[in-house]
Amino acid sequence: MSDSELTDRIRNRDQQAFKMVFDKYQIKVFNTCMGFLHNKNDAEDITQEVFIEIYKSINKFRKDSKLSTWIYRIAVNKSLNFIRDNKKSNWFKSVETLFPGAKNPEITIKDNINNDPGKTIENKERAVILHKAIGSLPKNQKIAFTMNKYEDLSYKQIAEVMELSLSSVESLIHRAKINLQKKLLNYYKIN
Amino acid sequence: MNCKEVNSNLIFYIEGELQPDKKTEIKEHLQSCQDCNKLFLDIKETFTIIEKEKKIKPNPFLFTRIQQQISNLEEQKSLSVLQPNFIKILQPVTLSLLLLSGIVFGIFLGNSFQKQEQNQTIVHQTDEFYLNDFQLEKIESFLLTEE
Ligand SMILES: [Zn+2]
Repeated sequence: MSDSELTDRIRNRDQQAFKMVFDKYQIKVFNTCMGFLHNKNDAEDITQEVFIEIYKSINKFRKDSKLSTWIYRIAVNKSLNFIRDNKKSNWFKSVETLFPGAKNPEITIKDNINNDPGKTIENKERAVILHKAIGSLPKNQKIAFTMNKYEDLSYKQIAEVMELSLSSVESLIHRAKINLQKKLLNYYKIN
Repeated sequence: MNCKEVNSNLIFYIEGELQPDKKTEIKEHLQSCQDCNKLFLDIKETFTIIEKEKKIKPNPFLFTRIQQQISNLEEQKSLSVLQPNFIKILQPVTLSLLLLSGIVFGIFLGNSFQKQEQNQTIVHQTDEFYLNDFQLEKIESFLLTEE
């Protein structure tokens, strides 16, 4: 069934069509949210909000744009709003998601007794520094980079979501990488 | 290529975005320069974090959660749709109840004041007489003066 047919059906509150849209887009939405939030629980909460919004606002969706573009836009906006409203605790949460038990050192050591505890701590640090670096990018660089790296969206798709030209998106991602490199180099040159 | 140049291209080297000749130059530099190689490995490792995050899958019960929330929303919606209907039904009911109680109250009032009303009519009649008298007198005198 095409996206156009699916949206028509959702307009008529067809639950089956809604489930089909969910199945088709849930991983895309979830990955996008993860790219911004770096925390499984938060990404799930926002994914849920995104699909509720799709269901509620399907009448606002105009068919001159793609359903995927519209859904990505909702996911980006909801994620950014979430970050804006929960600025403080995000870095700590991101570590928890990637390394469950990292909060409790004893568990971490026990869990990794057969692995290499040093490596886990190292990765934990790397995750923090990466998320901090991405988080400190200017908004548009952050959006373009995240959609490209976490959702593997093409520059063309990102251009549609952000309503920018292809060359603007190319330039945003290029500058984002230069900025990230600078931040990471600054950190690793001392550490 | 010096260390500074290599450093500023590391991310594009890792991302495989460099021209083949530049790529070879950096590769050779990294083999001979420990400092740059350490930074290269650090950044490369850091970027693999993204790949790890991408492997995380959402809870399989996510759709059930969404469905639950939607049915809650629909319930609220149907309640709010019902509310104006309630008012529409209630309005004539309250109106007729008010009307009915008005009638009953009116009958009660009429019964209890019947005696008083009768007395009042007598008083009224005397008043009228008196007034009429006065008026007649006035007219008479007026007629008299005209004459
Ligand atoms: Zn070097």
